[in-house]
Amino acid sequence: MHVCCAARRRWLMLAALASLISPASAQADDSLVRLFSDLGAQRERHARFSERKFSTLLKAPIESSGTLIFRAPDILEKLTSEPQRESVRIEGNTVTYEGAPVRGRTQRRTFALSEAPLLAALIESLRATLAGDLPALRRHYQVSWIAPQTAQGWQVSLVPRDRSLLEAVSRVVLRGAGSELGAVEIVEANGDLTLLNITPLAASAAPPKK
Amino acid sequence: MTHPAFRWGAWLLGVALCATLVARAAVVTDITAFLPGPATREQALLAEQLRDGVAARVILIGVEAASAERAPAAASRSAQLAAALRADPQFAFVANGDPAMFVTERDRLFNARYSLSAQVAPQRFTVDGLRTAADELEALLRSSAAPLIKPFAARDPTAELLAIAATLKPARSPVNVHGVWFDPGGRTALLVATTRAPGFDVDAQAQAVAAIRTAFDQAESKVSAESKQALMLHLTGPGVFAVQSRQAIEHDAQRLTLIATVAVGLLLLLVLRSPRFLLWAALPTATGALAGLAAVSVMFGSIHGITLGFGLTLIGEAVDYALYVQVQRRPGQNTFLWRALWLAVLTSSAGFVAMMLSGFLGLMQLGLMSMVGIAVAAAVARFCLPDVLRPLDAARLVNFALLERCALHARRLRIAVVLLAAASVLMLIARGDSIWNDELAAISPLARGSGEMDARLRQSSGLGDLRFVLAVEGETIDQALSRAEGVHTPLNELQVRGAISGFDSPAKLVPSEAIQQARRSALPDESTLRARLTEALNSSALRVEAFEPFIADVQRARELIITPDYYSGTALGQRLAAQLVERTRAGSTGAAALITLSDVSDATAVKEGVKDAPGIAFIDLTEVQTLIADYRVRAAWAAALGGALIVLILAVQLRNLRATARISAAVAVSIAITAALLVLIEGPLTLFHLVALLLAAGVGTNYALFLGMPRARSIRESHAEPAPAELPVVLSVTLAAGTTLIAFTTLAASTTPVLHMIGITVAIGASVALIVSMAFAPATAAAA
Repeated sequence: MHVCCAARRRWLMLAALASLISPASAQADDSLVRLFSDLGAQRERHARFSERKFSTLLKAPIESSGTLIFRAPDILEKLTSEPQRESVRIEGNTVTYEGAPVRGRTQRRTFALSEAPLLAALIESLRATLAGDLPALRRHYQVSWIAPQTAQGWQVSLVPRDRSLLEAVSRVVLRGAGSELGAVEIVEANGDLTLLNITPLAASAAPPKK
Repeated sequence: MTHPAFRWGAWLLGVALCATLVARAAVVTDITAFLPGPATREQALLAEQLRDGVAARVILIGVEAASAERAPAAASRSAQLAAALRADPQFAFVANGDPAMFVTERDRLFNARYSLSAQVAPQRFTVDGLRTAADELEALLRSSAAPLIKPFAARDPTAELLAIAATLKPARSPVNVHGVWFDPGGRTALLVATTRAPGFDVDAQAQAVAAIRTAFDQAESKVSAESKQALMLHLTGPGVFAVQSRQAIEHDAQRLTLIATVAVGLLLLLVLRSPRFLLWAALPTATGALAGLAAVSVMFGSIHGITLGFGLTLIGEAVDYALYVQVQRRPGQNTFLWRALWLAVLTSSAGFVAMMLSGFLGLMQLGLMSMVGIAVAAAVARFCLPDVLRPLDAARLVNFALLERCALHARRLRIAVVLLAAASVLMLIARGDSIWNDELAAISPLARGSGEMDARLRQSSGLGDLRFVLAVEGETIDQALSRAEGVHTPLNELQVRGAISGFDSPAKLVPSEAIQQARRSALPDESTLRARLTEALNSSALRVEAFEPFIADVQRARELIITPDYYSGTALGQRLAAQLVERTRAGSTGAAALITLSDVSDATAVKEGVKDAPGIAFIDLTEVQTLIADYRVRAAWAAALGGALIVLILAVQLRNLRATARISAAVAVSIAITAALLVLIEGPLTLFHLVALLLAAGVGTNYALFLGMPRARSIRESHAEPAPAELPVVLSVTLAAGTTLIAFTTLAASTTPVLHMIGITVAIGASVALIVSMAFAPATAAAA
């Protein structure tokens, strides 16, 4: 009798929740679409970035900084200047990596993004966001609000759809304000964390308009 | 056998017994039973591979979307299909590119990494070696790929998993789109399924193909109507071809058998005007077929599908016995008839005994089935038919004058026929071996031209051509593996030179004991490793405490021994089972490791590159020719033996040298002419022509016997001139030849190569045998 009541109450609560969520999630979806169309309106961006990687494997966080460039529809460049020069350029399906010379040899590598599906998913969390391409993002992640858009800013959570990516990355959090992406946080399955802070440079403040 | 009740009782009992035996017999469809017994080591391995090899068990599946926009629908269908097929025990392995399904395999490989990685050597675990590894790991951790490296980094800082992945990675793999494999066009999702049953078990393959189609259709019923018509299923692979070609043969055979039966029935009805005869004539044939099948199932335990098909054709000869008995029989004067019938059965049996001695399971079954079949058919025609049918009055039936004139004219052809036979023999000798077509395209689905779809799916799945295999034999599995390791170096060189695009060796998954031992002893003990790692990470950004899992794994690896069983229950285990063969041959045990070569562009270079390795054999799965050439030589010997046996039986039974010589000559001459005509019309002859020629010889011997055997009186007086064949005999033989001609000409019209070959051979053989036997028949009193 008691159990039955408890079960019933729980069921009623769920039903109530569901009735609350359904219209709300439709609204949430509309507002996500609006956010991404705002993000995509900027065809070219230049930004400073600083990245900190926290890991149990490391004695101290690895810090790096440099410039981030995005050009619509699909060019993303990450030029690291500190502590070592390094560049990653992604255009369409092609990734070109150039690193600081190791033991006198220049590190340069080109490969197709489709060869490394997990890496592709990780890169897309940044590139598709900057491109405002919500459908592309949704191919790899379940996209949902953590904190909807207010004057102070917004937070979006990306949870990988792919099981093998989920083994490594439990979620990606996007933070921003208005049509600017301010930070990307990658939370790994083992608790390790990568924090990417993005500060727009003056060049991108005035988006080129047709 | 005097009382009808006794005869029919015996018949009924026999039929009941045979029916029980046949009903309980299993029908098998493994085509390799019809491949010859191998003579050399390479041939034995080839036959084994054809039967059990992975290449013959692969089914390639394409799910094609109507447009690139529909590709996600194809991807989800691919996932549904893969899930359904993995749940089906018929399939050993199903892959569609979904990375999630490789998790089990990856974990096994990861845990075995210190046994499998070629990087594992003592210097790798020194302070310097560990420092180099740590620097590389640190660089990776700084990169964007860091989150993907980290799940393994604490256990595998020396990146052995990457080293293993590099050697095990297929030479080419399909592109991964929407989480599954796709062709480069991005419209067709690709799956690779391996059946548990061998590729030559056509029944099992047919079931597998049906299971795939059902799974595809069921997945279809779940999805929305709009995407329904947008997807198409493509299947290809040796098993799929085998199934398709068998369906074509069955369809053709059923249709043509019906046409032939109606045509033969009409002819007999027209000439004999006895519907009653038509009905009863089926009795000896049906009884014979049943008895033949029963004998095969008792002797061999099962009946082969081909025996069933061919065998029924072979005892088509049995139909003739009803004709001989009913047309020639006259009250009280049947000594000649029974004697000729007995001899006909005896001589035909000699031919079939030859087939049984050939040593090939398929031919042995065919021989036994035919021998028992015709003996029983003759007995039923001899003992049972007279009870239910009155003799047919030949004189009433046909225009005797016409038949007599034909027989007369035929005898004038004797010299011409002999000359023609001589010319035929000369021609066959002049052409030599070129009269034989040893390509067994009709038997081996692997050798068949596989079409555009197969090439497309194969190309884009990265499966390539699986036709080349290196077999490395040893006395034990370990010796075979160790020898296989010996050819890894030359194969790597061949890969660099582009002669092959890759190779897949079982020794990469299960290294030999010696190599495993060497790798184990390269691993330091716990305290040594911890001390070295601490020193190596001194100046690094990495924390030594984080790598305790690495130290623990290395300690575990020092005890680990990898055997094929280590992989059981995984796709890797399936692959190993096919690639590591243990067997007992000729009393001694042995083992073989099979290395699959992909995209061989220069087979000669490969052969040259590995020729010095011990125990190695280079196998081209399409090269069944060597097997067939051997088969044909043995079959020819068997045929020659059969011929000698026939002559011996005639000589002993007739005790009349002239008659024996005449009958033997008639048979030899008709075979020579038939063979020459066949080569002229058909080009090089195949195995099927040869088997059909044996049947034609059997039928021809009967004609020659009935037309050329001395009459009853003259057997006792061996020097007396034999009396002429009586007209009922001529009529019955002509009718028998006529029905054979109609039935097999129908078969010759088939577009299915096998049926066409048998049809044309027997049709020509029967016609030639009739004319030749008439020409060689002793002169009639009227002509003398």
